[in-house]
Parts: sequence; C-alpha cells; structure tokens
Amino acid sequence: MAAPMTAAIPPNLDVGPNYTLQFTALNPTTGAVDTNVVITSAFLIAANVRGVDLEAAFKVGDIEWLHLPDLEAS
Amino acid sequence: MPDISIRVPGDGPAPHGLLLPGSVELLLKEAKASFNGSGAAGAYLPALQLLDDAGNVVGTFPTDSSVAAGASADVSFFPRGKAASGGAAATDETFAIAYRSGFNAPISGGAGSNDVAPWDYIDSNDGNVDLDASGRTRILAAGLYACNFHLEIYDAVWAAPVWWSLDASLVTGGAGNQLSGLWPGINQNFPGWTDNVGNYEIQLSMLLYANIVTPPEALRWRLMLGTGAGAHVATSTFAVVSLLRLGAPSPGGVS
Repeated sequence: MAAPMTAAIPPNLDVGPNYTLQFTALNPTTGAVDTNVVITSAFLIAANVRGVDLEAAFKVGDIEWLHLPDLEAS
Repeated sequence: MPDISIRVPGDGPAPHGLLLPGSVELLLKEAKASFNGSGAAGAYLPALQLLDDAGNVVGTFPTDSSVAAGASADVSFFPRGKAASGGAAATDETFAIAYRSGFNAPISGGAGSNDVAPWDYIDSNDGNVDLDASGRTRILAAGLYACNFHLEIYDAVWAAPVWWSLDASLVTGGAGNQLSGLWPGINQNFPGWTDNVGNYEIQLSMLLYANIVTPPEALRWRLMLGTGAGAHVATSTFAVVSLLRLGAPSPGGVS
C-alpha cells in the first residue's frame, strides 16, 4: 500500500528546451540518490508554451502516452 | 490552450524523468509519481528535480516528510503543494474571573494577613483556573496570562498617614513561573500613600502578566495596609480578579 503524499513546487514552473524533469529519491540526511527506489506511473500536467506538435517533437520512446485536447469535441 | 497530460515513459530507478526536446517548452502545473521503495536502502524523500540544459540540478522539490525504508508512496507535486490541513479548530483561550465581597482587610503590614482569600466565587470557561485548598486562584494550564486585579474599599479609615499597596505573588513558585515586574517571581507591589487622615473610598487596580511554565501555580492577591495607628478598612471591600490566557508561555519570560 503506497502512502499518499504531497510536495510543493513553484507555480507555473517554466521548463525550457533541453531541460529535464526527473523524479528521484533522496537520502534525508545526505541528499544522496537512492537508486534502489523505482519510479513508476509518472505523469506531468503542463501547458505547451510554444504550441509545438508534441507528438512530432518527442522522439518515439521518449513519451509513452500523450493526451492532447480533443479538438473534435470542442 | 488547455493543459496537457504527459506520461513519463516506462519505469526506472531513481532518478527517472523526461528530457524535453529542443523545441519544447512546458509550463509545469503539477506532477505525480509512484515511488516503489521495496528495495530502498533506507528512508528516503521523494522529490521532483529540474535540470538545466547542461545537466545541472537547478531545483529540488522534496516532500516534507520521508518515506520509511521498504515503504512506497504516491506523491503529487503541485504549487503550494500541501493538502490543506484546515488548521487547528479555533478554540477559546482560558478566561476566568473570581470575586470576593465582604473582605475586611485588617490593619497589618504582616505578610498574608490581608490575603484576598478564600475567594467567594470562581468561574472559568474551560476549568483551567480554579481555587486551591486555601481558596486562592490557581492556574492549571501553562501559558501567558494577563491578570487584572481590582479592589474597591468602601470605607478606609486612616487615623494617621499610612501606606497601602496591592500585592501579588506566586504561591507555588513552579520552575520558570514568573509575574511581570521588577522582581521576577517575587511580590509585585503597586504602592500608595495617604497623607490625610479620615475616611476614604478607594478603588485600586493592578494589571500584570503571569508566565506559567510549570502548572499548577496558585496566585496570592493581597491588599497591604501600613501599620499607621488606627488605619483599617472599616466596611466591606469588594475584590475581583480576571485572568485571560494570551497563549503559550513567553520563552523570554515576563520580567
């Protein structure tokens, strides 16, 4: 059973080209990464600032699943 | 433009994330990830990190508390990202009032001889102030208290010039307990002097602060009269004291 937790991030964090967003597990005392912790089911909710075609921008394999607005429904 | 949901591909050991292509810029609104700590070396802090285009960590956003070794967590990251705790329910601070009527202070400068005790009546909204076995006001909960002591003397007879004062002191003297004033933990005096002989009606008030670190603590309230010949309170005196808890004990004391 996984415990639900929350953490604060800055509002409207602008993540530029070639920047990386990564989830990690840190030792509370040393800050060292604990590579024995496995990250699963990671999602991001974001605004596409430049409006580029994300499906084309991400290489195959970089992005497993991308939910774009349903334009037909609008 | 609506926000989009992006799933970070695959599962992987920490750190695990997503490198943005050179044409993509995202305004991150929130993120969520599951941390499987079944193989963790020890307790850990789930965190989201931002790396610049040179691979430098430019932001780390961990949870406030750690996850125990072997345990897992589902973590949501969002602005001001703590679930609203709602805060503690508002509660009333302690308020108590005691009074005594028919208190005829004798002529004396002797300690305790003019003690306004036992009080006739005590009421407290939460029971944190009561009367001890001697009928003195007693504080049962630690805190900083504002104490307002008021005395009305209906007929004071001064046959000779005499001094008088209101006086308060700690009876129990618990560790760290203080009354505000020049002499910590010692009697606090508000003296006066009457030059003229005769009969007077006098109203006296004293406001002080009691910093109670170690309850219970009984408080003594006194009217002190000098030993001038014939000085005494001829008729009924009314005394009232109110105590309002302001909050936690003052770390620096009140002296």
